[in-house]
Amino acid sequence: MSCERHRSAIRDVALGEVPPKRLETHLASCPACRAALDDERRRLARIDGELRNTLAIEPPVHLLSRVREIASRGAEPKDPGRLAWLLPLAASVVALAVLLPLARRVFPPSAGEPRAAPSAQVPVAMPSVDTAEASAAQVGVEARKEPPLGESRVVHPRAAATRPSEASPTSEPEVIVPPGGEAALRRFVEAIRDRRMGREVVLGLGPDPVDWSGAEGPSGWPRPPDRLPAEAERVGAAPEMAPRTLSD
Amino acid sequence: MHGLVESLPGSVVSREGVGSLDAAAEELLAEGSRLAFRVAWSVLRQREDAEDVAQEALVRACRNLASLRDRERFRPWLVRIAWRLALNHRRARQRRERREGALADPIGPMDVEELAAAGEFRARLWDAVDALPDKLRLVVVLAGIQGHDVRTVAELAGVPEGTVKSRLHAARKRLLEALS
Repeated sequence: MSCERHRSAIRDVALGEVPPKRLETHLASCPACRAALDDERRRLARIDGELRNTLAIEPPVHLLSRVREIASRGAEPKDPGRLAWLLPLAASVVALAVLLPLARRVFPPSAGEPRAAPSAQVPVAMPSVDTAEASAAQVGVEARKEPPLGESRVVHPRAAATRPSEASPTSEPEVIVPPGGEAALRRFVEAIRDRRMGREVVLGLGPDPVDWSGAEGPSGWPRPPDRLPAEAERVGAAPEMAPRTLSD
Repeated sequence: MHGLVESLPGSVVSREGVGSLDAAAEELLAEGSRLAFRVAWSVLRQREDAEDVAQEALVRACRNLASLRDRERFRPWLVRIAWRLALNHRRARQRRERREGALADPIGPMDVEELAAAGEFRARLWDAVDALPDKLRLVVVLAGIQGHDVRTVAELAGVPEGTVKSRLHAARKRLLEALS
């Protein structure tokens, strides 16, 4: 049992390690372990000899001449590998991603691009959604732009939110007008166009630049109530207020 | 070979190419061919396969000599190429043999004369060598080739001498255990 315990240490000694004191004492008193150590040393020498002899194998005499012959043919094109097509594809994608935004900045869509004519059925000059504006980027830009007052172009909120897939050159802008309110709506838009009414007033956001001192507002508009309902003070509620006020 | 084997510092290979190597380059290539073949054989243990791998490694080495600035790095570089190619070749052969339902022996049949010469001990020894992890196997093989000392093995394997010593110790101990 004690000899078995020293087996690993005996191998280490055979491999050249200095025996620990305990093993040295044991070896001095145990002929079996001394024989085992000699056995390990002989086996190790045989292993080394076999490896050295086997690996002394000589290459065929024609190996070098064949290498010279193949190498002298010149550089062969390297194997591009199975995924070699990925590199040009990735380069193209990167180039597109970089160049497209640049091209849009350098060559913005010209102002003279043909647009679909406003629909004759709509009493108010509302822009129709053409295909160029239908792209998401275009719609985003248009929605953020403040149309200069005095121009007949008013961006319809619905049009600004229209997705490209929904837009078509023939689509009509949708305007909800209460019964009999077409004339009032027309005057409303004209008032904005003639700068008589600021956007803040329309949306209920700020002071009213229009002179309401008369019994009626400008262009025959009815005078609005002194205090707007609480919900109208919120920005989101303003569009709902306008038709209700007009129909009054 | 023009343009491929440019002369290295120390004039290892002449500008005219492999066909007109100077004496030093011829010696280097001859020694390299022996080294590459033995490394390949230690993995594959078939002359034909080892020859193919050694040839491929030498051709690659020749074609890329221009990028090798240090003459002393030629042999480690060649060993690395031959070792990697041989391992790949062996894996491919094992896959092919498994597909064809061939031999249980992972290495494959030895040559007839080698079979005749190989005793039981040698067969068991190489089985044990094959069972070693790659890192241990490489140092055992390199130490076995021409009885390289620790310093040369470290240079060829590209690892510190201390690492070679510990790996060699572990590898030989495993071989002893396998053959006891």
